[in-house]
Amino acid sequence: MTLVLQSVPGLSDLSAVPLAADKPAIGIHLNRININANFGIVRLEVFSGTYQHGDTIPVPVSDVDGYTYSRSELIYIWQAQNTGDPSTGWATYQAPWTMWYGVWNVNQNTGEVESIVGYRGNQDHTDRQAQTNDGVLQVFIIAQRQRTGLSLAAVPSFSNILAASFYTDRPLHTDLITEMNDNAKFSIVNTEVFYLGELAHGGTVALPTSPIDGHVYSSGEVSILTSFRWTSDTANGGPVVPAISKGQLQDWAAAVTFGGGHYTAALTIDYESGGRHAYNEGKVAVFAICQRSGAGTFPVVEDSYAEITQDRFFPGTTLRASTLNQLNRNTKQAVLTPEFFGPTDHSNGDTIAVPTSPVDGYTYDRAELFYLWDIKQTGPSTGTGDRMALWQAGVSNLGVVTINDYRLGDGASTSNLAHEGQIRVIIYAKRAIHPVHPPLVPVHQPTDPIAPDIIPDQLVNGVVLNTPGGSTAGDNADTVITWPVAFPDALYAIKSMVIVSDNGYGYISVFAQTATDVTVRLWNYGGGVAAISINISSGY
Amino acid sequence: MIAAPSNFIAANEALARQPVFLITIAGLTQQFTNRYTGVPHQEAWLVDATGSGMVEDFSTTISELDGGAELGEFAFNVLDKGGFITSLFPTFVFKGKTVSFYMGFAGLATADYCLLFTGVVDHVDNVGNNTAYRFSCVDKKQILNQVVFQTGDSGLPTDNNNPRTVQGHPLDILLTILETELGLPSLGVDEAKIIAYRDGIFSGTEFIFTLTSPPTAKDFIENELMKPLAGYLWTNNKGQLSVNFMYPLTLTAVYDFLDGNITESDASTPVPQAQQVDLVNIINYRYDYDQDQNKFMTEVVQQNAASIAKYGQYGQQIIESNGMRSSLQAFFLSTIASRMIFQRYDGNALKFDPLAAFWKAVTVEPGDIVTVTNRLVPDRATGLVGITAKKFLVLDRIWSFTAGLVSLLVVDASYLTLFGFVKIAPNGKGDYTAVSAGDKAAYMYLCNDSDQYSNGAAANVLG
Repeated sequence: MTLVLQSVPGLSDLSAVPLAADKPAIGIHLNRININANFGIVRLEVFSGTYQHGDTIPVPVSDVDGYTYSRSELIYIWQAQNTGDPSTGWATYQAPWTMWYGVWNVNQNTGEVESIVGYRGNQDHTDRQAQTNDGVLQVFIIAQRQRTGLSLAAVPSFSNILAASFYTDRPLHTDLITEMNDNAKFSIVNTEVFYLGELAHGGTVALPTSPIDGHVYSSGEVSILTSFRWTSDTANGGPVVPAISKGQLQDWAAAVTFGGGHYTAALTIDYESGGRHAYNEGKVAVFAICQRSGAGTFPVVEDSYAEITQDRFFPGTTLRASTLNQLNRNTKQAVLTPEFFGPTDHSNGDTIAVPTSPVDGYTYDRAELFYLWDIKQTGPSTGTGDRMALWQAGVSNLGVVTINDYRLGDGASTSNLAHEGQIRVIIYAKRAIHPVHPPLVPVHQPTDPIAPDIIPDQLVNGVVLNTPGGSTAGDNADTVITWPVAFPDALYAIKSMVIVSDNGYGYISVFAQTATDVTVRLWNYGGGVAAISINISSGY
Repeated sequence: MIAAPSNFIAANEALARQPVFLITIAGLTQQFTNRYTGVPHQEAWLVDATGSGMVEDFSTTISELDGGAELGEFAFNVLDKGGFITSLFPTFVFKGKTVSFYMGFAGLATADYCLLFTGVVDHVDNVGNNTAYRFSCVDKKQILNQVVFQTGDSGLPTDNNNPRTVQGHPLDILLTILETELGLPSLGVDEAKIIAYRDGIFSGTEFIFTLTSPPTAKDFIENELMKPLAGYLWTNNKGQLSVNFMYPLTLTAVYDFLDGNITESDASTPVPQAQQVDLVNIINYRYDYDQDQNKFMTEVVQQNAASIAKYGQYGQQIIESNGMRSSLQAFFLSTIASRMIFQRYDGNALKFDPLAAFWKAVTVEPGDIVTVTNRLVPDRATGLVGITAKKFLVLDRIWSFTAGLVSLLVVDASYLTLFGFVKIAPNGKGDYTAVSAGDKAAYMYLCNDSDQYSNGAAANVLG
């Protein structure tokens, strides 16, 4: 079942003043609390997609209530899902070329995607240097409503109100409604994500502070994700091509750890040049996934969210115990929406375990999970002289981790597939009634040296057919062309025909096709046709 | 309701009473009255020099759906006895001086007079063949014609490149405009009422504006603050800028109109003429203004479904708010305001325009809830002739000082009887069946799904 709210909710910083004893019992205030709880459900949403250089991340629309986000409400976390050419899934420059550097970014203000991958030859061929816009980035779009516009006068706390508090004849005590008010506000702010800026090796950043209410997160409430901005050298605050003497790119790794009251980045970029050489270069963008403590534990699983219509609180309506009980349950579920688990380190082939909420014991279903990840390390490579030709990584909707390192070893003419390296995963969990976000695009594994499932255009070009002499019209002798690799599912069409000699005319069609060859036939309408050049394209 | 001294109220109840009008002008020792009082410096120089009365009829007109109100001209005529007024002109500037108009009765101490109007002198014209002066006064709302928020966030003048962000509770923004931007003293603003609304019904409300040009205060207040919240700005008897909203602060009627205190509005209308309020059953709310796209990103159509089913769509209102945001409960605000408008303008409800009353009703003011009882008024809601203690809300008002009559525009507010009066309970208050009858009636208790308490009693309702 998918949650759909009837209207877009929002925040009201309802003070405790109108909720004091002997103040009028006004339905409008209860409705504000109700809407705050709804807002807690949707305030933080995560979307994802894969993008390439030049793309602009589209502004998402919530499928819970149709809210259209504005750009200023979004934070982008990106990872290189595939360092190769998006159209082929493989490196533009292949063996003996390998990776040299990578520069990746999603502009936090505009959503514009940048991906630059440099390739080079070995030290015997330093003339081989190229720069491309290879790269497929998986982008996690963290959408937080009024990300910079919300404010609360005080840091809300959470009180665990039990179901037994709601029964017929119970007075609407000031403490009860004040706590419910606070709890609903807590559900809005208890999960936040911050962009902490970019750090080079050794760079530091403080614990994040909520701009909403000034809460300073403790290290225990924060999980860090990084996105590599670049692996290359740095000059004047920006990336520069690495010194040629360093060699070819081998591995890259990042860690941001807490100590001494702040976070510190540790970056390592390995190059192969007569051995592995490590450098503390590069830069990462740092993101804090924050989840406040203070909710304690709930005695029952909270998975029965039901929207309470505003009519239930209009002037002239009664206040049912069942309504307030549902409001309390909605608030508790909003506190647990979403939950973040991790980070945990994973290697290729791992299946990420389905988590159980430590708050109420709810065991998530796989379909309720989404995996945010970053690169802990791409290696270390184990082969002698291994250089990185292509890197791929991701997590499927079944929680299976894929890490592919395509490495070119010493003296090798083709790269080998390895599964070194680790990614860090933070699970974003939203309970059953919430929509499942699109799964990850499956990681593409090309066959070296050419990605076989995309057929290049003009694979066969300029084939000259037998032609009849003179100007006799009629079928020409069939010409059979055999492809180098079998493509049983592909269909072929004549792309163009050029009569290269004489003055005849006609057309060429695909006459027959098998798994390994295609037969083309010339229909000659007359006139002398001495030779014909044709281009055959694929993809129909 | 105007807070009048108790002695004034008592004196106003007397069958025979002689009204005393008292006008003071700031900076002027002399005060002007319509009869001799024996009080030093009070000169009985008020005269009817124009045929319109010593003190001319004074009106207050409410534009409830447009967020504002207009006070008519307050005019009085003073005899230029011995050329005294004329002699003041070389040394005394009348224009802009604060004028206070009091009313009392013969024999009442000046301290017990009731303040009915506070404004400023606008014009002083000769009348009555130059034997008298007609003072024309306006309220202090003229100051609202000034532009506000002229400085952007950058410190430079507000424009496209230097926008001004205004964020906060709309009633705090109102106070900022009046007291900070316009420089009104706090005594010139009905702070108590504004704060009561801010901390009561509208607690937790927030607007965000990004201004790229400085607006006039009047336009901004009426269109951006009052109208979206179903309220209006007006000037009270103290000359203070005040607010009223469709959700009243108090549900208690302040005056009961009965056969004995209602009079004919004119000779041809001996009884209150029952009329019908306008019908409004559809409102388009627009908010989430996007500066870059220069348009409202959200439009919500609020409808009174039952009314539309019966009558079709009528009286469409369009309310555009640059400050309301979805993420700040804009939809809820639009729902509440629309609901109040639909209840007020349901097309079937009664309206009296005017409801003419004797001078006892002089303290009734716009926004007050009153009751009307009259056996000759048809009630379309019940299909019967005769109404008893039916609640109405006061909008427009005209004081006719010469005739001693109060004319009011009142609209049916009987839907307010559905609103609850009960309170939030103090901690420790016992369950419904264990408390006294007084506490049962005073506090809110949770009920079962049949809207009853465990003993079968009907549950209290929310306000």
